[in-house]
Amino acid sequence: MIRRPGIRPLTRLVAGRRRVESAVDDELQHHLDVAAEYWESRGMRPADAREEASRRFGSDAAYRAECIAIGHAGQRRLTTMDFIHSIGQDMRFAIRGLKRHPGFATSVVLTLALGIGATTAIFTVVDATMLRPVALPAPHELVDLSLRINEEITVPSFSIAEMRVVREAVPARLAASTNRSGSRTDLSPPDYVTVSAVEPAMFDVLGIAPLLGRRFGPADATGEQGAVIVLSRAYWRSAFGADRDVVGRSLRLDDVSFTIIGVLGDDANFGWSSRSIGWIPLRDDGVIAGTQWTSSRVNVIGRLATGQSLESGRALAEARAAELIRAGTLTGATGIRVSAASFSRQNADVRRALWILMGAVGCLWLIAIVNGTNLFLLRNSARDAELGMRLALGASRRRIVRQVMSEAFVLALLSGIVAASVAGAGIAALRDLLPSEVIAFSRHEIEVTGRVYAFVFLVSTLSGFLFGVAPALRAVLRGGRALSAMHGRSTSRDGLALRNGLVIGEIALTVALLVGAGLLARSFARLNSIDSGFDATGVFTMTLSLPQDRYPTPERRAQFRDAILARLRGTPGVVAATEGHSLPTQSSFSFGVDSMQVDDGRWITIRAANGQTWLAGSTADEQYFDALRIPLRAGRVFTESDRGRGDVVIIDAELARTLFPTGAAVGRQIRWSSDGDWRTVVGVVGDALLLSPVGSPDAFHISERQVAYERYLPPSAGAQAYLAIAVRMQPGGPDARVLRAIVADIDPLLAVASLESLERAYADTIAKPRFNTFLMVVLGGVALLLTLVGVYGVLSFAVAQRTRELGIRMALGAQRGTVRWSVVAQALGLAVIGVAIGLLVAVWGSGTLRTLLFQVSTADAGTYVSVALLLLVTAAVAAWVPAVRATRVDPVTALRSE
Amino acid sequence: MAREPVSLIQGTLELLILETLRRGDSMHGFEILRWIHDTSGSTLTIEEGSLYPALHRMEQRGWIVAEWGVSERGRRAKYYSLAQPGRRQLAREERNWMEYVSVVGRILQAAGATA
Repeated sequence: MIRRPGIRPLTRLVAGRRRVESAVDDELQHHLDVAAEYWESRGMRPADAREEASRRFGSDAAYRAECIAIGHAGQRRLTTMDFIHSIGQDMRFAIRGLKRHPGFATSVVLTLALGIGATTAIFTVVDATMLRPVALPAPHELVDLSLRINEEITVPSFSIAEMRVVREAVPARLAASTNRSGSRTDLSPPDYVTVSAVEPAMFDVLGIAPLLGRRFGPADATGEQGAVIVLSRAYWRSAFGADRDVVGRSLRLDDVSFTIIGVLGDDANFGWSSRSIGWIPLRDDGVIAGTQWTSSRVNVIGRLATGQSLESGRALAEARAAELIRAGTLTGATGIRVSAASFSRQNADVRRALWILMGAVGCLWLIAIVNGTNLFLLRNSARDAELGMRLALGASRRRIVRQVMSEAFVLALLSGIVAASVAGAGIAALRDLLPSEVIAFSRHEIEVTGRVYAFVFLVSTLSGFLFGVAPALRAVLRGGRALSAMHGRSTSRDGLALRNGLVIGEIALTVALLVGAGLLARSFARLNSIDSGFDATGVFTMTLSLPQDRYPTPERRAQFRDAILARLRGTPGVVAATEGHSLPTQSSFSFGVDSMQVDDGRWITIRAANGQTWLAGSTADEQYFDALRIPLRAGRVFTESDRGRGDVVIIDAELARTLFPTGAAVGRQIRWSSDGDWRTVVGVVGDALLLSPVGSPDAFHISERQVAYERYLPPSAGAQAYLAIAVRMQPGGPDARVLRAIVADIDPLLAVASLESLERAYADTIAKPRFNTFLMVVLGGVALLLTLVGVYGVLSFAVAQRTRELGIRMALGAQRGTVRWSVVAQALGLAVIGVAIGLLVAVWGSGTLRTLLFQVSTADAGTYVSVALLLLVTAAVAAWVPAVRATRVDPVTALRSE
Repeated sequence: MAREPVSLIQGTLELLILETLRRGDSMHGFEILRWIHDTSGSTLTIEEGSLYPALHRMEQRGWIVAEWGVSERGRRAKYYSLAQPGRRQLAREERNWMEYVSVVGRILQAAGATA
C-alpha cells in the first residue's frame, strides 16, 4: 500500500506537481494490486498475496519519491524546453478564438491601442527631451566655460583675445563656437538660416563623428580650398530629403558658396546647435574659414582629461586665471568659470508640464485598460458555461488561466502593433504642435526610435497582464460553480460587482483628468481674453537681418530701412508701415525696474506688489502707433525730426498715472536710472502688451502675471542690422507676399527672416499653454468617450441579466418610466461614487498644475462642479439605450428564456 | 537443482526493459517484470519497485513512451512501448554488452588457464 505523507506539502497545490504525484501513486498502486492478484492466482491467501507483493516491491516510499523527483525534473525541463512552443500554441489558439468574435477583438484592440498610442506619443517626447542621455561619449567630462567680469556679471562668451588666454589657463581640450544667421541665397526666394561656426576641434571635444562624409580636414580649417559645411541631420532631412548623395554639392550663404562635405549624426542635436543647419569651420583668429566673416565673441566648450574631476578642473582653471590676471595677461575680467556642460537647458516648468502630460496619458491608458477588462469580462461571462464545462472535464485551472491570459496578451500585443504602426504619423503631428521650447531644448530629435518600440512592447505586455488578470481569476473562480454555469444563464453577481468597481474607477480617473483639462482650459480662456491694447488684425510683421558685408555701417543700414519704409508706405493697400526696435510679441527690449525718478527729484516705486516689474517698449517712428492702432491719449507721437533725439519719451497711460497721479504727464521729465538722461514726456498712449502676457520670453511659468510698463523712444538716425517691420494692410488689401516682393526688389539676395501675421504671432505667445490645454482637453475628451462606452457596456449587460425580472415587473404592470429610471438610477449610483472619488483625487493632484495656471485657482469650484455634472450626464446618457431596451422586454419572451 | 539467484548489474535493467519491449506490445510495469523474470528462467531477481524509476527515466529520455490505458480487468494502468530512440539505444547497448561480456569472458578464461 502506498502511504501518503500525513501533511500534504504545499507544492501539491500546484496543479502540475499534483498531477505528477497522483500519476506515480496510481501506477505504483496498480502494480501492487496486479501483483497481489498474481500471487493469489498462484494459490496464496489474499492477505499473504498482498504481503508478498509488497515484500517483492521493496521500499515503496523511496521508489515513489524517486519517481516523483524524476517526474518533476522532467516537467521542469519540459517547461523550459517547450515554453516557446507552448506559448506559440496558446497564441494560435487564442487567435483562433478571437477570430470568431471579430467585433469584440476589434473594439478591445482599438481601445487599448488608443491608450498605448497616447502614452507612447508623450513618452517619445519625454524620452527625447529628458530621459535619453546625451548621446556623446563621457558627457560628464564636458564643461561650459564662462567669463566672470565682476561679482555680479558672468558672461558665456569670450573675445578672441580672451579665448587665447583661456586656452592656456584651462586644463581641458577646448573648442570655440559661434552662431551666424544669414540668407541661403541659392534658393529663390532666399531662406533665412542659422549656422554654427565651430573650431575643427569640436568634433574631438564632443566626440562626434559625421553620419555621412567627413569632418573638417586641415585644408578646410584654413579655408584655402574654399568654404565647407557639415550639415546637421535635421536640416539634411528637411532641406535635402535625406539624400545620401548630398556630399559634394554646395549651398550659398549670403555671398559665399559652401561645399557640403558631410552630415552630422543625431548626436549633434543639443542646445545651441539644434536650430542650426550645420557646422562651418571657425579659425582661432575668429575668421570663418573660406569667408571674410569674422566673429568677435565665441562660446567655449571643453572636455576635461579622463579621470579629472570637475572640481579639480575648476580649481586649476581658477588658480591659473588668477595668475594670468595678476600678470596682466587677462584683463577686464576677474576670473574664468568652469561648469558642467548644460546640454538641455529646458527649465523645470517644461519638465513639469511634460510629466503632467505623461501622468495624464497614463490615466487615459488605465481607463483604456479598465474598458478592455470590462469588455473581456462581459465576453467571458457569455462563455462561463464553456469554461465551466472544461474545468469539469478535467482541464486544469492553470490551463484555463493560460488560455484567458493568452487571449489578453494577443489582444494587447495587437494593440501595441496598431499603436506602433501609427506612432510615426502621430509623433510627426505632435511635433508640429509642440512649443518651440520643447523642440529647441530636446537632446535628441523627437522621433520613433528603438527605445520607443521597446516602450510600446513593454506597455503592451503590461497592458496584457493588467487586463487579463481579472478575467483569468474570475474564470477560475467561476470553475467552482461550473455546474450552475452549465445551465447556460448565469446569475453572476460576483462578476457584476467587479465590473461595477471597474466602472467606478474609470469614472474617477476621467473626473481627475477632466478637472485638470478644465482648469487649463479656463486658464487658457483667461489668457485669450486679455486685452492686448493693440489691434493685430491685418498687421504683418517681417524681420530682416542685414549682412555685415553689404551693410557695414549704420548709415548704409538706415538707407535701406528708409528705402523699404518709403516703398511700403507708397504701396496701395498699405495703411501704415513702421520699423520698431521691438514689435509686440518680440520682447527683446525690456528690463526690470523698481522705481523711476521724476523731474521734482522724487523716486517713485513702480514695482508691483507681487512679481517682477518690467519696463518694456520700443523705438516708435511716426507710423508706429498707427500701424498697431495704439491710441494716443495726450500730447503727440514722434515725428521725423525726433530721430536720434535722446531727450524725449512717450509713455503708456498706466505709467503716466503711476508717476503723475494728479497732473498731466506731457511736458514733465522722467528718467529710470540715476545716471541716465532726463527725457521729456511728449505723449501718452494707451496701454499695450508688448511683452507676452505669459511673462518673460523664456518662462513656461505663467502663474503670476508680470507687470510691464511701456515707454517708447524715437528711432535712432542710424539703423541696426536687425530690422523688425510691421505693416498694416487695408482689409482686402494686397497679399502679404507683396512684402517679399518689395524686399526682393530692393535687395534680391536678402532673405526675409520671418514674415507672419501679427495675429498669428500673438497667438503663438500662448503656444505653450495652448499645447498643454489642447492635449489635456483631447485626453479628457477621449477619456469621457471611453467612460461612456464603459458605462454603456456594463448597463447593457446588467439589463440583459435582469431580463426575467424586468419582464415580470412589466407583466405586473410596472410603468415604463419606473423601469427606465431603475436602470438609469443604477448608472447614476455608479457615477456618484466614481465622481466623488475622482473629485478627491483631483483636489489632491491639482496642486501639480498650479504653476501652469493663469489667474485660475487650482480649487476653482466652477470647474469641479461642471466636471461632476458632465460625468453624471454622461452616465445617464450611457444608461439611456439600455434603459429603453429594458422597457421593450416582452414578458412572455422573458419568462420563456428561463 | 535450484540455481542461485543472480543479482543485477547496475544499468543492465534498462537493457532488459528495452529488450523486453522490443517485441512490440505495450506492457505495464508488472508485465514487464514477469517477462524479464520468466525469460531469465526465474534466476534474475530485482526489487520490483526499482523498475519504476528506471521506466520513468527512460520515458524522459524518450526511449520509451507511456500511455494510460485500461487493463483487461478494467483498471487504469500505464502502458509502455518502445520508441525509435529506444530502438537505437537498444542496438548500441547490445553491442556494448556483447563486447563487455566477451572481454570479461576472455579475461576470465585467461585467468582460468593460468590458474
